[in-house]
Amino acid sequence: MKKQLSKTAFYAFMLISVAITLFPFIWMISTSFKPPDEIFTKHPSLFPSRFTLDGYRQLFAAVSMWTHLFNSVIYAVFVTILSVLFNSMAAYAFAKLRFPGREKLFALLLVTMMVPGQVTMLPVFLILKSMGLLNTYAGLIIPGSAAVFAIFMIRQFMAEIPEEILEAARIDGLSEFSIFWRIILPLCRPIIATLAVFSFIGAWNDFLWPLIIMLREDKYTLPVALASANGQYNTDWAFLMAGAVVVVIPAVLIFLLAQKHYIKGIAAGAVKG
Amino acid sequence: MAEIRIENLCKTFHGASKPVLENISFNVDDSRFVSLLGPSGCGKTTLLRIIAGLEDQSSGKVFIGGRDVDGVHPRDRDMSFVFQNYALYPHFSVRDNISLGLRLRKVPAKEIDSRLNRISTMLGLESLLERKPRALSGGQRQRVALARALIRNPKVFLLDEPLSNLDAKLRDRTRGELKMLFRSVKGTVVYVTHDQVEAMTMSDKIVIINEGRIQQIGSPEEIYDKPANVFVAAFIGTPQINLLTGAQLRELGFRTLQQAEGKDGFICGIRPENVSVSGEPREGWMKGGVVMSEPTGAVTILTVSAAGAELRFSTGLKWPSGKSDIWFNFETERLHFFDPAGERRI
Ligand SMILES: Nc1ncnc2c1ncn2[C@@H]1O[C@H](COP(=O)(O)OP(=O)(O)O)[C@@H](O)[C@H]1O
Ligand SMILES: [Mg+2]
Repeated sequence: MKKQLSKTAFYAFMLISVAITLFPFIWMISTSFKPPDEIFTKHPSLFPSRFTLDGYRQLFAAVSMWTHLFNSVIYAVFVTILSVLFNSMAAYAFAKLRFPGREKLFALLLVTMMVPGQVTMLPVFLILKSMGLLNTYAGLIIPGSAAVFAIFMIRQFMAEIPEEILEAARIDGLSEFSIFWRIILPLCRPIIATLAVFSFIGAWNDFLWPLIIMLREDKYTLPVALASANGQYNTDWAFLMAGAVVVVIPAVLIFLLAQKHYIKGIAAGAVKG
Repeated sequence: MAEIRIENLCKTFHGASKPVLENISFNVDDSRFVSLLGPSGCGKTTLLRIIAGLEDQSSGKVFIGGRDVDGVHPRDRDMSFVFQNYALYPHFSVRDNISLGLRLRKVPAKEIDSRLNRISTMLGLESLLERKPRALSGGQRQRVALARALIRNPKVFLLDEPLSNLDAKLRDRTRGELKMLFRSVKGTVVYVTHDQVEAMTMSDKIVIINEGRIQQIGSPEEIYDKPANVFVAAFIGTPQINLLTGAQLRELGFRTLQQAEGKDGFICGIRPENVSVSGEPREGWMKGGVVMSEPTGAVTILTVSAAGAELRFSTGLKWPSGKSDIWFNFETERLHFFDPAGERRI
């Protein structure tokens, strides 16, 4: 009886939490489909009584959506691919290769994690500017294509892979690169999938860096374009929420698709032989 | 033709003060089964890894099939290595685990298939080929590791305690199977173990190592019958050999040739099974008190206290429990004598 009660309480609590979490999202979606008079009313309803796509129409009229969507996709996809590649290669070196100064170098790398990103943003901007990389995809992508935290996470994961497996592969005749590619990477899939989702969503939602590095409007990513369009047209909520929905959908999709690996990556600390 | 020759091999790990291996020299004739036997931490695995090329020696040479393999990559040494933890690829099926080495050597698919069939039938793995290693029992994993080693038909097999992760019963059975297996493929085998029973039952030759030095090289019989020093005498044989000083022998009332010659500085070893025991007094026998009797079925192990020493005897007699007084005698021709430091047989 008591057990039943605590279970009911637990579910009630979870339900309320979910409702609280989801409410802003539902509100966002609903607002994006509302006509202006339903938004500016004393008694706003959760669902629009007159469903309209005006917000979306305005959005696609005011902002060259496809251009910015394209920029955002380029940014997020390349940051994800490059960071998976570079972070896992660096992690492999720190976890499994023997070279002098390895531990010191790794410690140095960890120390840089304590420096906040905002501090390095300006110097990085200046460096890229001097290289002539302002307003280029390269300038946008390169700084995000390696991350110490990810290197650290993958290294911890790789360290659990027994050395003997690599040696067996060496005896079997795999080249050093094949060992990385065919043995190490597949075994690290959970952690790599997790970090890939992080970097995709991080880049997709990123506002500050694209704002700084991409000065020309046709190079804006979606969040930057929406923010600047918003200023221009006052605060048209249906318009803004329509933009937010367009930004959020891919992130949610990625999250759902990768969920299986993602949860494994967080839960797993070890590679089971 | 693949004999292995090890010459004056030394190994000190980077940053370590003490060498792990000192002046190791021995050879393994073609198609012979040689065990490296020693307590845990004595350097067996390191030695095997140097032969495989997974570790560099500090000095000395390794020859495989007459070729100095210094600087030769492990994959080019024509050997297979079975790791203590098997080191199977967790994300590959059993089939891929076994056949990877052949595929990388560009062996035609047909040939791979036929070899895979033969090996997996031989080791009883036919029904497991599509499984991942995590879905296998310890014994099955061990056989997959063996299959992976066998399929390439190498000249040399290096095995690092391949039975140590199996339960006792399976280990007993697998010992014999392994011996037959390697005899049938005519492989040259270096087999690392800390288990004297494995080494004794499987090997043509045993190399006994302690603290990085070779203690004795010989056939199982030689090692058992003529241990080169006290370490070997004590390491081989269960229950352990009884070791007595000259003074203790005298106190027991046992006279030896050595003492007859007036020498007293020596250590005498007598194996538990080379002792005659009796519950009745016998003319010229020594007397002691039974502290403990452990029947094992075929024989009974008696722990006997005599002249301040604790001795272990192994006898076919059924010893009545609670009976204390015992009379015993040593088989004189089965006594082993060592110098006082225990380093040399005399
Ligand atoms: N990579 C290494 N670095 C430093 N010391 C090592 C390394 N590998 C083994 N050792 C040391 O060498 C000694 C022998 O180890 P090992 O060859 O594994 O012994 P065994 O296989 O006989 O148990 C041990 O004291 C061990 O700590
Ligand atoms: Mg070992």
